[in-house]
Amino acid sequence: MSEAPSAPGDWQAWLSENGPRLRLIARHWARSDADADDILQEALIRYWRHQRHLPGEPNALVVTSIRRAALDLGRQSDRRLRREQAVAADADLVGWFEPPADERHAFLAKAVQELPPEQREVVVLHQWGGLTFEQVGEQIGISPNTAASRWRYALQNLKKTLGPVLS
Amino acid sequence: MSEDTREIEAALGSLRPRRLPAGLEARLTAALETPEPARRPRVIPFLAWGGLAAAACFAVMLALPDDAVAPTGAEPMIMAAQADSPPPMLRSATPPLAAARAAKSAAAAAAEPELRLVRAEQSAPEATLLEPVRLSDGLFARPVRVRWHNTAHFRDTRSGAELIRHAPHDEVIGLVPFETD
Repeated sequence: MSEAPSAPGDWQAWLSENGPRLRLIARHWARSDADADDILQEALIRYWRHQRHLPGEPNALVVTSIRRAALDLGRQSDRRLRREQAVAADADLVGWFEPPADERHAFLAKAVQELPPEQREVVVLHQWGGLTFEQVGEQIGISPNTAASRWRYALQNLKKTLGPVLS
Repeated sequence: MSEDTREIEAALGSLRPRRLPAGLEARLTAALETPEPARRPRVIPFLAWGGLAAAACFAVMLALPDDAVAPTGAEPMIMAAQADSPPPMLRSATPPLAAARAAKSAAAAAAEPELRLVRAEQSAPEATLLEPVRLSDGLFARPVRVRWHNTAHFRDTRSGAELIRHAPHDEVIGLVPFETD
């Protein structure tokens, strides 16, 4: 992740570069697009105002901030979320990505959606969050080896699903 | 890692997260470029803790009896002790007691205002003559009721606060002998 801007007016370029993948991470932990937007805003403001001077890699700190904002929002709107759970379960993961260029990409996006949640979490954090397995493990409270295993299982599952398309 | 999974990894890398909606990007930019609002001083916790601390100090001072703070003859003993070799127990115990006594007297002095009379005013008396009455000795007298107002202005020389003591309707009832021929 590029350094966060130090002067006002530079945020637009920084958000164009990093915003989509950070929103994807937020969306993974949110129940709706609107919640993901709120989570991303809260996390970026929290990081910028209070955490950017903390030691550690900025990318991992931003992802941590997103996770905490998602947890906070989850606690605040637990009752509402329970009512929306059925609707949220049908959320279309394909909408998380740019419109697929071809059928192969559309299948891939759908296959990612159908991964078990614990594998999908690792895929999102590692692939689009840019975190190492060690950082992924710290984020979700598992060992780096477990994170790496889930990544491998996810790839195998995707291969199983996409085999005919890839070939 | 097999060749197939490498291909899957490459395919995953080609999936691009959706771009931020224009509205969200503008919203985030505005939020991030807005200066952090100044934090308001937390008045209520300050008052609460300050009040608790003051109450605790006051309770400790009240709990200290005067004779315990300044035992009779303690100071001559200290003087004598300082002149000679000091008893260690007396030396170690005295400074806190003296400090507590000084704090107590300071607090008492601060609590009691030093009032100085600035001026006093008295209204003109208002006399009301009532109906004559017959006394037990057969004489007649006329009751008289006299009313006036007193106002005294004091000023606290420490704080500058002004105190006005207003006593309305001070009255005296007397009997004026009623002479008859």
